[in-house]
Amino acid sequence: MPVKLKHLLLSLCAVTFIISAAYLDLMFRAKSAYLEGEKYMAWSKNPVLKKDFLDKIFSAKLQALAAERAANRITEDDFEDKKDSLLAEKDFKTVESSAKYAYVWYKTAGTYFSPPVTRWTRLARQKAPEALALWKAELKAGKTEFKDYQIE
Amino acid sequence: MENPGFAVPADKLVLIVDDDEAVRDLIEFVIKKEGFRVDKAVDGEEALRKARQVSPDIILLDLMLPKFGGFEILRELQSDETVNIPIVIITGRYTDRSTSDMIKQEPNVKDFIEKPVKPQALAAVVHKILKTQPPVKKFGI
Repeated sequence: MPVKLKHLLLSLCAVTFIISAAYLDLMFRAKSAYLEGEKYMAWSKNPVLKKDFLDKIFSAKLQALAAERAANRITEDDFEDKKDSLLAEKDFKTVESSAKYAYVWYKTAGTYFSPPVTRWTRLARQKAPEALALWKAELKAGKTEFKDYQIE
Repeated sequence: MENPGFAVPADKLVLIVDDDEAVRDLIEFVIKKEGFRVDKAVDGEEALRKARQVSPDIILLDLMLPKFGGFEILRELQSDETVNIPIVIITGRYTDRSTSDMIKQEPNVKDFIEKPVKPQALAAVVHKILKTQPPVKKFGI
């Protein structure tokens, strides 16, 4: 095989590899962002799922904190302060709008990780309007004034 | 083509601090795509350690609860070694006005980004603070 042809084929292989790797990377990132959107969408429709999730995280962190206290690595006052922080964090996350998070994650999956257009970017684009409608309904229910351009 | 008025993103190191892996990965992707170098931390303690070790040019700090512990990190970062590192706070919508006003008084806090993170807004803020330019897009992907 002539040397020039060999170099050309090698270059083509390298370019194909780079493009394939970039495609796969973006596809998996879009999938990951889409699944985050799905998680928040499920929480928006069923807040008990969100509560269970946050309760589990709180319990695990509290257990770790209690172990530190038991080992005398932190004082009782520190333990109480950190426990209050964990509780406040849980409460804070509980009141955050899941619909808003779902919308932004779908939008990220559908626009930021596209092109390429993949199954995940298509699904994200399909579901984003529903999440946006839910978020708007929440804002309206809370009597929060907004213009569409502010949130879209 | 480089603009002499701007710094080069590749010369800048961004420290990302967030306990949520999905958010951390997204921010890392956005920041690397803009040409910056990246280091990561999952909590305040690791952030302090890395800030002292690697001297980042900017810290993107998830401060879900500024009232409860977040201020300690901000204050620690005002120590001699790290006082000049600008910090961008990434926080939730429900940070009340008085809290956000208090955070803005901190000399190392340069900006706020609301959660959930929007990639374009994040990139714009980091470029503005570091006086860098977004990379020229040569390919579609």
